[in-house]
Amino acid sequence: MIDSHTELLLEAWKHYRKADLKATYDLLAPLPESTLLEEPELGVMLVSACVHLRHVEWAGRVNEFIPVLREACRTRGPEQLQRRLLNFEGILHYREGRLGEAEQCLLQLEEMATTAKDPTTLAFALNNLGIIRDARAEWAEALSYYQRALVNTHKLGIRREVGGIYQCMGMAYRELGLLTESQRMFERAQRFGAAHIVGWTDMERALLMHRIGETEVGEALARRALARFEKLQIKTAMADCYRVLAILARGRNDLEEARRWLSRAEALLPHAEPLVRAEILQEKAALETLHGNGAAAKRAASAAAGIYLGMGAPRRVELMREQLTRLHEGRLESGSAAGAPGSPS
Amino acid sequence: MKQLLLVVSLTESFSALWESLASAVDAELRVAHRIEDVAGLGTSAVVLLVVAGEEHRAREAMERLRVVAPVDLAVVGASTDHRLVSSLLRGGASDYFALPADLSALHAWIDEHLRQQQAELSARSLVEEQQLEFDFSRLVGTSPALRGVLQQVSLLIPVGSATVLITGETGTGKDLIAQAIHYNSPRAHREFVEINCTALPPHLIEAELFGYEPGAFTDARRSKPGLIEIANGGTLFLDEIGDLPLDLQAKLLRVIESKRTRRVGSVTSVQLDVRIIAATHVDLAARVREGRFRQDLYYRLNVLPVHLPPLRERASDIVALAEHFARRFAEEYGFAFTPVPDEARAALLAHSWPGNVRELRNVIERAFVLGRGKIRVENLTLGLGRESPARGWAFPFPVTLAEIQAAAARAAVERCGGNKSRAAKMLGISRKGLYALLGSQEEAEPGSDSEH
Repeated sequence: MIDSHTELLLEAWKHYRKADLKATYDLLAPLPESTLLEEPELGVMLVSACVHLRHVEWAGRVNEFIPVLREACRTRGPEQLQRRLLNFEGILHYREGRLGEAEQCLLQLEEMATTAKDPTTLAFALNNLGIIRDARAEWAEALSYYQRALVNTHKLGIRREVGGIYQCMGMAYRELGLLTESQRMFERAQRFGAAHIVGWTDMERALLMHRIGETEVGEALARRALARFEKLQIKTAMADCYRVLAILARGRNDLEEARRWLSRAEALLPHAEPLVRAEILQEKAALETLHGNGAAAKRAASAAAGIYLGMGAPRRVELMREQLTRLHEGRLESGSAAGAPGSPS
Repeated sequence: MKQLLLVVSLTESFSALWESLASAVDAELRVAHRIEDVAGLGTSAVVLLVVAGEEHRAREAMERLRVVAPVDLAVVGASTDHRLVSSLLRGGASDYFALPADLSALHAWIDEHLRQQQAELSARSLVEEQQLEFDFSRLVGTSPALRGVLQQVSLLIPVGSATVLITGETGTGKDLIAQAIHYNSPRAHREFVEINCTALPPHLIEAELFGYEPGAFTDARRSKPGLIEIANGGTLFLDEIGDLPLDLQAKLLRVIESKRTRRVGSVTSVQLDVRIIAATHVDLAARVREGRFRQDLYYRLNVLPVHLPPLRERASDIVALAEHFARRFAEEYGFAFTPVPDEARAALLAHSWPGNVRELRNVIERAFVLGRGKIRVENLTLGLGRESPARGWAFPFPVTLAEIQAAAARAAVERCGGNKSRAAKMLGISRKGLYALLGSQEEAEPGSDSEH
């Protein structure tokens, strides 16, 4: 009695359960939209595969598809399906730099998961809400969410999520200037982390090492992360890694090498997510400031500020302004200023 | 080992489906046609009772099945008669699915129940792993100072909810001891919630610790439990307690004394059974004398005090720790482990380790990376000149105050990337004062009579 429709569902579930997202995508992407809406779980699995595979190019199609899928889930799917879709919607908004919309989705998800007593979804919602606060440079608030997500995931024994949350906490503590705490969290992320977060942890820890003056260790970590991302061809992460390597080279005062790394990052700008794009442009502004190219610095900083503001992250603009002012003053102080660098407008 | 999907089928209907469904959820399938055949299997399985075409026997079969498999079970049929469904649900079925329309919902139910079962197993194994990690016999170091502390700590564990105050310099591993107490205690399977009192601004830390109800303040749109409440039944670790604002010290004191907590904006309170472990690197008694820390709270926290010795007081552990880190980095970076050579050991032993174990770890990692897997003495960066997350610097003693000031000036300039204005600002002195300090060092060095 297994018809072709059922067979399709069973095969998709099988791939999805094994986290084989490429196979899930290959199976579902060619299907007509009507099939995906008739059985909305197929649609949700396709959206999930698109989100996790981080193919920026697919985002347009998925964005158009989501509103109709949402309706199909509401009328035909179990409530759990609506929650799953809402989480992916939040992630997609975040990836495309719409932090306000992402937050709305995730706050709604938090409420739905709390009402439905669904601790797994609640943990995901809390962690993702923390990531949004992080993108807005509101690190203390981000920590608050991570803390709660951590308690939930520990209770649920979701090891890979525990590692991911520790990694996020490491980033937040680093940005709050609590470097010892940050280091502890990254160590825990490594201990608990599944393979999928190792590259991210290495890259973020490389920035911590830069902060504490351990540039050589930072470079070893960033190169290791880069190798991993190159192998997986996650271009937005590769771009971010090049930026981190540029920062590390700048930390050694090797501005030429920093420029070389940054030009590789810039080449990947079209593939990078908005936050990564803005951070690359911010680093470009920093380098141009140090080179005394005021006009170029101003252009890059303005472009970065435009992205940050478009995302709804004005605090990032303030922090960038402070950073560039510091670099400019440092340059004046050392007597090598050749021209006034720009500050973002 | 795969989880078990147990299908108890009164009919042959849908029989072709179960194998595919089990494969889709990655579970092992057992199909039984008589309820007596499933005795002993039910408690560790996800159970379906299939009654399609035999709906009239459904209620009776379900009641018999619940006796031998006392777990959540779903009933699968073909009928959508609401009287049947409500009868089954009233009789204790977790859910009812009418195939083929409800296939997706049935899959979701199975998937969720398998995940729940898996989560329970994983949570248990995560705790067991933590228990092993924090087993006292596995903590690195054999020095009498460390073993004395561990012996003291092991005596505290049975004292169920008594408050513990861990003191010690930064980098001595206060957090590890807090976790060791939790994971070796009967509370191990409950929450270990930690909060760093320095990390959050005062307006957030109150909401974090105590939670709030909607309307308690402008942004409070929904209720949120505090971390104290979340830790109920487990352990609450308050790191850097010395930085807790005075008004919250009073609230925390009330929680400890009354064993109850109340969300901001709430009129009701929650009974607590939580062990509080506080830690600080500052001299809390001195803060009490200065009026910056409440004396009554200090006494309440200091019921079971544990002081962690700095690494310089447990010199015999330095090499063991260095080798422990070298082993860990060998694994992490993919090199073969090479023991720390004698000259590097001597250098490590001669250092005063102001940043304690944390500093030692960083030094070893850096040397390891620079030496591509081999620790070489020339790659050990010990002492001033490198910013460390640890507070405090290494100074060989005796040392003059002028040398300390000059070293601070040099470090500040380096930390500010050569920007002397910023360095002066950081140190709270004028640029002229900074130049004086840098100059005095340059003059002092050639004729210095300090023992380096």
